[in-house]
Amino acid sequence: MRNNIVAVLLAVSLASCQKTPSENPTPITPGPLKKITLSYTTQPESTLLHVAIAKGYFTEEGLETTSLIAPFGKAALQMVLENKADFAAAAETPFMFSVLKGEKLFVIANIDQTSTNHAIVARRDAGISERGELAGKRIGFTPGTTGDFFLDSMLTVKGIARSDIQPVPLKPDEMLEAIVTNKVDAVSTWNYPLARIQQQLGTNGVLLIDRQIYTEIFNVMAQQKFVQENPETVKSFLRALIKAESFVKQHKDEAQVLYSKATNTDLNLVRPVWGEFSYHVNLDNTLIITLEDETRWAIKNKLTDQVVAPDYRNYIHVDSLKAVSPTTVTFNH
Amino acid sequence: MRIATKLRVGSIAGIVSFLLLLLFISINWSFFQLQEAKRIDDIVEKIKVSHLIRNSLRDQYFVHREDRTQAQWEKSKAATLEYFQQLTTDLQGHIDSQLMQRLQLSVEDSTEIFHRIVENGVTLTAATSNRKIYEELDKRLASQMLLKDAATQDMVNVLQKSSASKLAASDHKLIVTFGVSSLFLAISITFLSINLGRLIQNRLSSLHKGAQSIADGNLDYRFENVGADEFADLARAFNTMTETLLTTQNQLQMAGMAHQEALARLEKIANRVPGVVYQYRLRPDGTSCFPYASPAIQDIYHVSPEEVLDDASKAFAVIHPDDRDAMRASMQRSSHDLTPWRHEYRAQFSDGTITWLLGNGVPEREPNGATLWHGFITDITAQKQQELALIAATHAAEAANIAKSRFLATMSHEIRTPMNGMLGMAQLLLMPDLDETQRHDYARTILTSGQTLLTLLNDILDFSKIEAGKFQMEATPFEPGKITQEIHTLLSETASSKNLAFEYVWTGPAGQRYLADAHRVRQMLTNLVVNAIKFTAQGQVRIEASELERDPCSAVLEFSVTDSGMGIPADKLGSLFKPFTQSDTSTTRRFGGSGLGLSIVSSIAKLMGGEVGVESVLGQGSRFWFRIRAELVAADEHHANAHGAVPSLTLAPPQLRGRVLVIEDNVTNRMVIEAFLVSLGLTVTLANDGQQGVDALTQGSVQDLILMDIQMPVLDGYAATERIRAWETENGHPRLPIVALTADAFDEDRKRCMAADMDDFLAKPIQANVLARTLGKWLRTGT
Repeated sequence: MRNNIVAVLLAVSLASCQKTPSENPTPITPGPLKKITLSYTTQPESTLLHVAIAKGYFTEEGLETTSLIAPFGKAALQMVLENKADFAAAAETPFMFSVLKGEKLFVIANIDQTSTNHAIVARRDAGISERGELAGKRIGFTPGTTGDFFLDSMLTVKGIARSDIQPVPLKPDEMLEAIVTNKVDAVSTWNYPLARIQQQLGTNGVLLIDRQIYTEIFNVMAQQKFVQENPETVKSFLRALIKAESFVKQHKDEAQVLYSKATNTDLNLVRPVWGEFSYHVNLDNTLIITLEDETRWAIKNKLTDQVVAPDYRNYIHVDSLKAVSPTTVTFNH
Repeated sequence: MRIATKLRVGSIAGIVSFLLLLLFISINWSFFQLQEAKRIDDIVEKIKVSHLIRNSLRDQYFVHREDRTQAQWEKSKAATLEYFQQLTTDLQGHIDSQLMQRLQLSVEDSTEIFHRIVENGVTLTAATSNRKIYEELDKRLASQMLLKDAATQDMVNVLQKSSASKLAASDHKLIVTFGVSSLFLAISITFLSINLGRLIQNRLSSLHKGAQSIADGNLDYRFENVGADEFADLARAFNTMTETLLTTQNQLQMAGMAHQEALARLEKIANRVPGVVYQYRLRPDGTSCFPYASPAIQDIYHVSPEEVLDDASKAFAVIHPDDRDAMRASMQRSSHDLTPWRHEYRAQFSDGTITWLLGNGVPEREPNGATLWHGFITDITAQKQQELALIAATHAAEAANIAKSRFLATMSHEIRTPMNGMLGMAQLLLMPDLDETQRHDYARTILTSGQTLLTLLNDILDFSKIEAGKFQMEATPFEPGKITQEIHTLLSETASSKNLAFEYVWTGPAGQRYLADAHRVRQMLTNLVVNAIKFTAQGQVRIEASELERDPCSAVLEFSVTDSGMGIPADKLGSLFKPFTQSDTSTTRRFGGSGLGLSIVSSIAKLMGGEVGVESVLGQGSRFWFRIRAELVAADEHHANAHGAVPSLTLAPPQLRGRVLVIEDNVTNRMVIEAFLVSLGLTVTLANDGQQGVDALTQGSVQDLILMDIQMPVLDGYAATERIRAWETENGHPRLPIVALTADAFDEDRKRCMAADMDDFLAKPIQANVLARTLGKWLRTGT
């Protein structure tokens, strides 16, 4: 009888401690690892990829990854377009331009969203202390990137037309030198070039920012064909990213260190801007709104041959993420 | 129960209790969490609804650009922020704070963007140039707002899912906890019940058997030693209890005996105390009874306890009719106020006997409203009689006091009246040119007044002696006829002055002589005759003496005085012979008198074995009489009666020869005495006090007699006599007669003087004839 009671008590204890069913079961993947190639940047928006690789989450998901590091997202996407990589991490602007060019791509997930990663850094000695004073100034930017669109938005807010400034196309890594050497009066860019330029200009630098005028959406994307042919790979890829997201949320400091080492970026540069990014693997309506907005801008400024915006819903793949993490998909397909 | 078993059961019970406590806490915590989760869910739902409304308003604004829509949007946004506030402050810890921060930031951004859209709209409306830019900005901002709102929507969805998940989890947890608690409780109770029941049933069975035996009265039953567990303890406790029961039974028997003894003692006390011990019940319907009454009720009420057990009316029947109402009222008061009852009342029995009773009782109210007294009733007749006697005595004393006061007033009057005569006449005597007749009349009046005073004084002295029990009788032979004759002779002048017929008669054997205090007989009869003359205005006064009865040795003599005076009311006759009373105080004022005379007559008559009496008819006259018992005196005995001689105020004083030393401190008295002595033919030497007298003698003054006052300054009469006697002895002088002359007129004073070696005794005031007679005994008579 005593033993019976103990058994009952144990049963009760176990029952009371029982957890609710997990939303993220981890399937065990048998067999050899699936080889994939990833193209991404050392920008903070790519943190989840760095962490997933560093923590071996891709391996856990049966993927053997090859990394192709690009200087910025547009370049990373270019690798996918050139079939050099299976998955690329890039912002919405290069994706839009690619789609407008007729490329068959799929965004399979947003991995980051930020409204404060872009800014215009100006030289104070160039007579710029606020954005209204940008008119007539030499402003560097990288065409076809988020920086391009952000610059336009910043000018628009002040009623400044593109023709009212002296646009100076620059690659991201050219911007620092250009502004420091006074080849331009200001640059429209993102981190980390942004942070480095700020540091370099010191008190001569003026940061012009508007988080309500632009939201960058960083995504992972692939050729539609690849996605359709490798649905499980895509899911494994996404699961690994979700693991990385979880790790980043729970171990921020460690994630920062991992990222710093992986990108060879000074930790002192990493930490101050870490909070500007929201690392979250999901699919929502923000992307399509931004895409439509930018498409209108691109068409209006004749940055594309297209005159009608495509239906971006056909370029957003929700099934994989929905299969892996249903709750993170809120996109109204 | 074995210790191990006890420990096992105790441990299980402890664990069960602990787990129950944990489950209870868990249930409460789960319930609390469920409530919180519901609350969060509610708020999140509101946020979601608010957000959807805001999106709808935003879209409306984008189309119509109406201020009203903007205001509604702002209102909705404010509500959303309020919900955020509730979530972040009230429910901190229950929600994802980072998510909330992002959500809030997103809404704030959306708000800022909306404001900028509105602001840009104004600019656009006013712009004349660059309109396209402002239009583009409008679109760009609208997109950003949509983007922010979409992000907000996503976050709200996440939040809602999270809260729904928490709600479901809390609900699930609560259900599980409830289920587990119920199951656990049921199993615990079942287990404990079965185990304990079986264990206890087995052991109780044997205990029951033994207990039944004890209950049947077998106090000798003892449980066998059945182990060391609690049931064995219980068995031993049963054994101890049985022992105790046995002891208690014995003690109870002893206590019962003691109780019986106490009851008997109480009964004895109740039966022996003077009076009846009772319980008396007054029922609400007014009837009453004695639930208990000691046998003495037979003595108090002449009823038995049984007769009044249910009905007290027989006892009440004996209560004096005059006292019933007061008694009933006192009991009703006591019953109403519940105050102790104490009442004195009388019982009257069929034989006429009346007793005084004192009732005491302490009441209490009974549940049915009746009043029950506990108390006792005692017979206080004896005390009551003493009390009444005391009251009577007090009244008598008060009356006596009043009488004495009146007597003093009377005395004052009686003294002042003759004193007035004496002083007045004395002053008249001092006037010049008085003729002999006047001088004689004045002197006579002074004498009469003085005698009146003396009589008064003698009455008082006699009364005083009688009261003090010191009145002494001196038997001398006398003839009643002669006494009546003497008194008739003495008072005939007074009677004739009032034109009263005055006669006397002796009806006894002629010449028969009797032995008694003739002086007192004369005094009594004089008193009655003087009274009769005094109170008779006209008619007659008759003195009558008779022998009423006789035996060989003695006879009863009756002396009576009959007058035709005013008479005495019948109701006053009883107090006539009491001291300080007269039948009418007004008579005192009219006729004088101390009021002592009849009292003295009565007292002396009684002392002489007789009595007094009076018959009177108002307005017709009275007859006063007294009777005495006197021995018969043979014919040859005591022919002479020195004391029986009638004093003659008119006799001329005899002439004496000799020298008299008068030792007197009072100047007036010295003058009076000297005058008397000189009138008697004596030579007088005066000394002012005892010492001067002694000095005169010792210094060679030759005397034949000494008149010695007693109370004197320097050296009183007793001491002076002693010295004189000593001087005589020392010097071989012949003994000088020393005659005491003192205002201390009592017999004991006379005896004391004799004892002080004096030779004779004279009382003041000096009566010339008495002085002469006394001195004549010691001095030579002149020729």
